[in-house]
Amino acid sequence: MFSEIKILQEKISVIAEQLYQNDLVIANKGLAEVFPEINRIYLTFINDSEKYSEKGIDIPQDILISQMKNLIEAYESKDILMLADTLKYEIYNGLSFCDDVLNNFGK
Amino acid sequence: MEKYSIYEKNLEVIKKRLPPCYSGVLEYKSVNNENNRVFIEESENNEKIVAVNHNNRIWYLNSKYDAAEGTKSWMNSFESINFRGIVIMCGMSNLMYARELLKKLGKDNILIIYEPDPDILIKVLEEIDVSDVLGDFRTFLFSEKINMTFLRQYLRMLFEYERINYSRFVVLPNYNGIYKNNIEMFTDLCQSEIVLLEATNNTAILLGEEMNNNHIDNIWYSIFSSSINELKNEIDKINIKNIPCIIVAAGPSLDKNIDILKQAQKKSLIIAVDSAIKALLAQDIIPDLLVTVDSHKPMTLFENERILDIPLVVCMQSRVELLQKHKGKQFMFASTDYMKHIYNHFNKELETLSTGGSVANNAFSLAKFLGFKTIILVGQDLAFTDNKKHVGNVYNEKAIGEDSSEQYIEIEGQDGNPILTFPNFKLYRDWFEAEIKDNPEINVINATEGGAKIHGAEITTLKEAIGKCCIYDVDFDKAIAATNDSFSSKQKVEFYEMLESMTDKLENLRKKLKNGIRDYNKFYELIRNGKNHTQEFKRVLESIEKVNYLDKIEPLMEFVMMYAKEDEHNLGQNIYDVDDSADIKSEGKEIADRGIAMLNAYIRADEKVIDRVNYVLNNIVDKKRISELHI
Repeated sequence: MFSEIKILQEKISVIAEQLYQNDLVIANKGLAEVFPEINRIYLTFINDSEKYSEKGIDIPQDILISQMKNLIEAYESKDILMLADTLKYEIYNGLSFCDDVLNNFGK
Repeated sequence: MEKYSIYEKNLEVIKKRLPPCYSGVLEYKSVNNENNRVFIEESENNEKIVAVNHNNRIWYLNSKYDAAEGTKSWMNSFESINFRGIVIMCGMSNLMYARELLKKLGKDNILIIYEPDPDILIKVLEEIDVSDVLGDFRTFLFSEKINMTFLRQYLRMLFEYERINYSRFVVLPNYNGIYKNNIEMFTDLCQSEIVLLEATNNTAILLGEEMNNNHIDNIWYSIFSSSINELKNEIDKINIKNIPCIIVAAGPSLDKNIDILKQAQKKSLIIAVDSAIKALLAQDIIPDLLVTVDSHKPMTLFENERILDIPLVVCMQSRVELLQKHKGKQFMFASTDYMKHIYNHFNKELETLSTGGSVANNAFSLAKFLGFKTIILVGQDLAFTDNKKHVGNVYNEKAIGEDSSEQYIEIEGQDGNPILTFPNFKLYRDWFEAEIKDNPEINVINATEGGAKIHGAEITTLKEAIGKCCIYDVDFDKAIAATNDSFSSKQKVEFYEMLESMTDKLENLRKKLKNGIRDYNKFYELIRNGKNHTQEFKRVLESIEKVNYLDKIEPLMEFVMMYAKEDEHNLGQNIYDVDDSADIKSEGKEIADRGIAMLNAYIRADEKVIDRVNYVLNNIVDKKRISELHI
């Protein structure tokens, strides 16, 4: 999952850039691809939060859920700036957190 | 206190740079105190950003986290912009996008900003210091309910044919989501102005020589003419509040109601367009004014001797043969910068009459300028009523269907059913509709009784319109007769001397153009020798720039450029293209070659202007009239 997250973050950066450029048509294609991936990774972490908790790692479920909600709201209302912001400043950081957890857990 | 000072600072700038926007803001604010829908917030990194409550949801118009970073990303979508390009930006947001864009634009670029939400403009003016962006000479700002009435005027001023291909249309993020309809309407409006500009340019290419000949020939007649400004001065002395202006065009429906028009005489101002005059005279109806604009109107229209005494409204491109034999009053309106320059020289004003391409559009603009609040359109079919293009007895033309039907399009008829027309007739109709929309204080009645529907105009029969509007007696003859010539005797002599000295000035202009060719050759030579960072190169560039701006400072360049229109067109519309991928030497050669080709075309045109001025001095000028003025 390590490299998967890094690749996803790269894709997210490109899509956010396209959204800030008001290019919803092109960004939409990328969004269709990254949405299920983000969803899957976030769900995995939320579902495994107890397992991580036992190891002393606290998964902020409320933050991850709120980020997903923001993403869905922005997408459904076609709020292009909220979509870009959520991807670039929330989901990207959320994925960095997941990446760190996996790194630490691996060690 | 801080809010007040920011607002004052912003307002001070728009007062100087964008006066219609300034008065629009004051007026809007005086009736719209509550503005709870738009607010200014701070982004995560403390930038002031705009938020709008739309459909019970808060929309931000910048990134909530880092507005500058979002703007930077947006700017990355901009590739190079041609140095003469116009950027039309839908949405202002906090003007951060515009500020960044201006950094990338050159001094000849133009930025037109359209803000669909007046509350955003007000809020930004109140809370964010945007004086740098609004004070920039390249920025023009328009907002709904603030200054949209002036948009077309500005677009006509800012859009130049050569710039069209280099225009960029951009919509800021989230504006399409909130203001989709407004943006679509704004886009349509810009598009229609571009189509009009293209049509005007095509006319100039096709008829440029003829129009320019008339322009130069008519200088002599304009010395002795009056202007529509002088006419307005006299009409202002009459109370026209309840008097309509009737504009008679030559559409086929005129046959249906022309006889009724007699009842409107002396109860209205009747303005006829040139093509309708034959039909009117056949009914013994003498209009108060006759408008003629086209440089190629057939003289057969003006064969009736009675026409020679009807007051004429003309421009510099109107047919010189008519002005030559006409004996009555002639009222000039501005159709060229040269005439405006002459009037300014004598501290006088000369009004332009806006048009969509048809003389009836000019007539409508005249009625508006004269101050009429009710305008009745007659014979304004703008489509093929009963398969005919014009009223009977005007032109010997084929019925539609005998020509190729590919040249026709369908539009909505007055009865709601589709009707065929020419694409340019649709342009004329679109122009009327835009004018009606922009001038809600004018009641426009379409009493054509056929043809195309002009949306926004009240539809009625001419009989009903006359019964309702032509109530009071009025006599415009006296006002028209009392109108002064534009120039005093002394000014006429001076104007004539300006005409006489034109050839010397044109010789001088030709020298400057030749020097421009020398400079372009030097420019390429320095590039070829790698000396493009020297002081000499800088001096040559400055010199070239002066030649390229001759049309801005030398009024006679207008005549030169008009004769060169076809050459300019043949040289290609890409004359201002710069190939970014080309190396500096080949790019330098291309720039020099294009510049030289254009200047050579101007030199040839300059010689033609000299020939034409000499023709006027030798064949048209009546020196006796001038010597009488000396007495």
